[in-house]
Amino acid sequence: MGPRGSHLASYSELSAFLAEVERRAFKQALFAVRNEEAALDIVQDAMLKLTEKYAAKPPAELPMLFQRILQNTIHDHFRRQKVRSTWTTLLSALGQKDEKDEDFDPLETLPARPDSNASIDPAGAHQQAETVALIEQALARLPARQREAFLLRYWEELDVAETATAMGCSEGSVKTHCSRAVHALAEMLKAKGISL
Amino acid sequence: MNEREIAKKIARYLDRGTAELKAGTAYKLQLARQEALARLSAPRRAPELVLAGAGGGTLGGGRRFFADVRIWAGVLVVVGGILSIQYWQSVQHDRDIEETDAAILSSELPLEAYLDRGFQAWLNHSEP
Repeated sequence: MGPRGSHLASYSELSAFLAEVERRAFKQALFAVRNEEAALDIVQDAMLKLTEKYAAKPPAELPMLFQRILQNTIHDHFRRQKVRSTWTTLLSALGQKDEKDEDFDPLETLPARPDSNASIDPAGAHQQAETVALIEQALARLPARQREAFLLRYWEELDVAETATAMGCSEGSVKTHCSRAVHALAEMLKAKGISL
Repeated sequence: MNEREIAKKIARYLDRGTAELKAGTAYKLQLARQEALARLSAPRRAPELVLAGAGGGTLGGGRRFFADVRIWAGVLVVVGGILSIQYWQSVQHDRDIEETDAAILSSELPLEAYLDRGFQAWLNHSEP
């Protein structure tokens, strides 16, 4: 049957696409919500929405669609948090700090690809890891819209128009957010003594 | 270094951070991906119900299924309630008619009296 054939093709394309973007999507959600479990839930939700509603779309449209779904899911997360009562929000905010410490599981800190740093000397690897951590912290401190624009435009490599669509704003706003984000990040890293 | 070059350098660092994701997190992401893809290959059931329950579903097929069941259960309760009220009203109506008939038939007054115009006029006249 015709639809079954195209369905199978969509399956393999979707599988490859999700495998490619899942880690970056997780990091994006993590920068926004600063909670690993919530970030994982958000990515899972976004993946489910994509496969349920947009599986029949052409593969070229998937990156932009997925980013739009991801950003909406992150916004939904914050909306739900706002709706909750004040004491729940306070508790979860306190809990996040504790969770960070509790999450430090030596088994889980094993890198997924142990050979990825094979060519780097230990001191260099340590310095690089520190720089990555500082950059991630700086990103998490950016205003949400600036961070979204920066990640979509320069990490996900969407063009200005696609970023604007994913963010639901004008192209001019994207340019402004990106410019401010880059300057803010450069300032923050400079203050930490990091030269790029 | 211009703005774009700075951004690209930062993005490269972010890529390195992503490549060294914790194994546990990478595994959970893989599971999430597999679940999403399993949803794609599963036969779709009652799409209109899935749409109706789409706002509440977050974590997997089981949850959405139960959301659908809740919608159906709600509809059944409402329809059942309406039918019960209608049945109760019809039974009550029949009972009222039966009671009136029984009162008329069991009274000492003959039935023909109710058809007699003179009797009706006398009744109206004699009422205080």
